[in-house]
Amino acid sequence: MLTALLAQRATLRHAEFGAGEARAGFCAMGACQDCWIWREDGTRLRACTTPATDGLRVTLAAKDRTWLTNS
Amino acid sequence: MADEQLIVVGAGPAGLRAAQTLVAAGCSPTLVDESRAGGGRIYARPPAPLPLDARALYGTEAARATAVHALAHLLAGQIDYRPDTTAWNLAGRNLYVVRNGQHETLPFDALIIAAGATDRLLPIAGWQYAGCYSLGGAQLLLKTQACAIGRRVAFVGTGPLLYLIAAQYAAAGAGIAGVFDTSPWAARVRALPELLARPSTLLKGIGLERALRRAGVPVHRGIVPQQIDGDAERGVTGLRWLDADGRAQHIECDAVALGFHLRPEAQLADLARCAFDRDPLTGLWMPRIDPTGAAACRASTSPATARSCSARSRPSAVASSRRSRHCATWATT
Repeated sequence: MLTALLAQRATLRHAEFGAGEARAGFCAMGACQDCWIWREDGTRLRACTTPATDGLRVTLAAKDRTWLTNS
Repeated sequence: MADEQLIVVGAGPAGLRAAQTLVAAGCSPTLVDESRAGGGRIYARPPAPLPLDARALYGTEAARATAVHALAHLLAGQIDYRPDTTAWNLAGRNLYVVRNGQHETLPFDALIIAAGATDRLLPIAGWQYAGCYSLGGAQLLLKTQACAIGRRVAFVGTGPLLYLIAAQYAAAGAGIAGVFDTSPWAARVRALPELLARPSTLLKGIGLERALRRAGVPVHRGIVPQQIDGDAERGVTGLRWLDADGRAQHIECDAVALGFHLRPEAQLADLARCAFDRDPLTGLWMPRIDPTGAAACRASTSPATARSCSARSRPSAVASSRRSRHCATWATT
């Protein structure tokens, strides 16, 4: 998903911290937690370790600020 | 032993060999793998439909990679192999794992930790701009996604991976702004006696430098990174550094790959209450292990039994002949 999204746009999301700069992933191996995307039901996914599969629908921002409590 | 609950965490070369050894001894370990197919990050495989061309992807390590993949396939049919599974906590003799949002607690009698390593990173002003990636991440995106992290990439940091990955980008035809090595030439000369004890490592290093020179990639040594230039929305736009003579320099680039050797993924060993020592050579805190690989424990309460494992699978973070090959580092990512 990280590759698929960055093939379409320059960045992925905005940092929750600091000045909230645009982010585009960092470690690309599922460790740094810097490429979160969300399923429409709010489930959080790491873009870099999620295969792009048929029917997968994602959003680039959490609907509410529940990103702290989602699994 | 055969009826004990044994868990191996990590299915890179070290974890797979550990599981293979246990199976050969009549045990039936559980193998916990965070990725989708065994091989670890070093021998990560591209997802279908990208082709798996072992020679192109793994170069001089192609035969080893193919053997590791075959072993992963074999073991998956023999033992409780759990891909896509993250070990996220350890307490007492329970390992807590999650797979696709489903949590589970796995009790164990003995645990082998083969969690590998990740890039050792030091912050640089501007590293928060989009387009700055870890060196290992830059390599994974090339190997498994056939993508470069930018159109003009600066490789910043130090260690053999800096040269290896820059050479892999060059071979793939990616645009490279340069290699920016923070270690001075004098440090490389000082390391020569130890490197001579590992002639294959030395030869690989010489080969990489030659490949970079042929590709016209500028290599800057003894630099001090000053600033990654960038824009909050557009990301990385350039790199500023002091050269070996202390002069301020600047180059335009749209991506930075950053890494200073590797560091062990030691969180599980820490949770298992293993004792740690600071390694004076690397400046890293490493689990204290005896020659058999068994970890020493720091707690007086009954701790988990943990072993750490290493396979010689990558140019080691620091070439050092005084270390044993077995369990020398966890540099298996």
